[in-house]
Amino acid sequence: MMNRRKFFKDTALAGTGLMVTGNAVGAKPERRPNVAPRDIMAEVKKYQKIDAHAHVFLHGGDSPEWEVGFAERLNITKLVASKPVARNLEANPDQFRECNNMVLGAMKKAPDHIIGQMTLNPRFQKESLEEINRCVGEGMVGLKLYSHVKINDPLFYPIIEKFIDLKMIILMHVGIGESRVVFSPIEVASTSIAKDFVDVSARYPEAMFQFAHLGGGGDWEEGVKTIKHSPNVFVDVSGSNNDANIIDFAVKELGEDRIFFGCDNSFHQGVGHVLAANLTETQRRKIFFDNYNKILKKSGNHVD
Amino acid sequence: MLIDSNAYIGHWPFRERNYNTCDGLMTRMDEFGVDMSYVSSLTAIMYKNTQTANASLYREIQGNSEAKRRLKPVAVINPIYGYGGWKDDYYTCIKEWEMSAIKIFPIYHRYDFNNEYCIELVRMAAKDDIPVMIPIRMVDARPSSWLDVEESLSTNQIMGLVKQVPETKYILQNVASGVSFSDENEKVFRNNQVWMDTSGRSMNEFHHLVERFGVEKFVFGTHSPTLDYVTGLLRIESLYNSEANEADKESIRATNIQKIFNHQ
Repeated sequence: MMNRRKFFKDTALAGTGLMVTGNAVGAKPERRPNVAPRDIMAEVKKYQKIDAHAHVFLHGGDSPEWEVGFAERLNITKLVASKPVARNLEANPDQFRECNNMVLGAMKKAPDHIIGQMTLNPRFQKESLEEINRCVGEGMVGLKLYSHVKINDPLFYPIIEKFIDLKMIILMHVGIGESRVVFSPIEVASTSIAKDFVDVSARYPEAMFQFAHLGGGGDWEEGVKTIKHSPNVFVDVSGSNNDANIIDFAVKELGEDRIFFGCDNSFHQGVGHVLAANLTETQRRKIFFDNYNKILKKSGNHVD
Repeated sequence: MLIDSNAYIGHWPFRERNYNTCDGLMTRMDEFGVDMSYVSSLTAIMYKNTQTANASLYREIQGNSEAKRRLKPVAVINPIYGYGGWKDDYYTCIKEWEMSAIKIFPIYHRYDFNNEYCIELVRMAAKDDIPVMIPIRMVDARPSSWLDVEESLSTNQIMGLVKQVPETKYILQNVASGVSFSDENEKVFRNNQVWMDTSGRSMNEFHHLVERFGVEKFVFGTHSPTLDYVTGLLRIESLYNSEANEADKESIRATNIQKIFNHQ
């Protein structure tokens, strides 16, 4: 195994390089009243897209047809989809296996659209590690977790190490947390917040972490500023909050290589705010598709 | 044609906003083919005396010949401020400055829809045949400042106002707290002069809403510069022809709003 200190140093330097070359947001457009307006449906059709934060069976019984319907409407090539196990801390192995079985069913039903992503409860460590082997064997890629443990909880370490070996990314739910200064009273104490990602990314610089849904209800500016110097923490821009400046701000602070397109079932917002952001052509392609495909490629699961 | 029924210029105290000047907004309009926008002062929402911000909006638009043609000012009125002084604000905005509509913010200005002055204001609007715009919320409260409000309005609350003053035209904006009416309120929405704009997150299954209520109940809106400029438009443009033909889409893009404002 690569020396962790050396890996961290190298990655940090590479990350700095990315920041130097990749943080320029496309120049702000000036008034050009005589130029033809953009055709947004032509642009929807033009870009391949990987939804890096998708779910099945959260909407209702018509899954995955409901999600695939939106994917077809908005030309989303692949949905990286999970079925998160109940948020209660005691969600047991039978429950997370059942969730994963539902995702496997969706993968079989819509193989052209769905890349299955597993879920676990790290409080059941032995069963979680066994479930990883089963799910990977069935073709799943990556991990989605809710708030059963914080992302930097020692209970999670063996699972992180397993995903380092698998070269797959870990997507962790992020809550409202301290967005309104005091930790949100509606969330459990084990909900991950941005500084937990900084902590775990320093401990495991060779792992890949996905900071969930910048539009998902947390303070996206605070989240981005916090993880800025953690080069192995990526963000997805999914969520129902399509605040006008999320993507421009994230590109400015993180560079164009650490940002994934995602919807978290808010499909119009997911596509809409990438099209609305002030991006170059390259930046838009990277966010919609290339950045996440690069992650998939590490484990040989990329989209051709 | 494309008419944005829900845009703002001005400042928001809790987060930086871009494209929040006349020229900034028109840059976005040019980029995405929006011909005209109904614009309120973002600054006014946090003022108790909204009229100073209405005046700034008026001056900024008047000082720009293109803005005068493309941006239609909408007055933010606080009907519990000034013990009748708000009526002067209303008349100045509507009669003297010829603003096109009014917009109200009961949560930010701290009153409810049973407030006698709110009802009086809405009746005045009906008398002058100008629409009343009511945003369900300004921002997602979760990531906002602890100093910002946490509540949103609900469509059911607004239907309570509609029942009290049914002669007024209402446009519900940034509908973000669901479209689950009580049976009675669904009838109120269907049978009165009430529309929704396309900007809010509750419009996510827009094809179902169009099927349920008809294209005539919706108008294009961006909620710019708070929300991204494209999503409200994408909900319209991504409808399949089987869900809304070109004429239906044109209704949502522009024709419905023209009818509301008696421009057609």
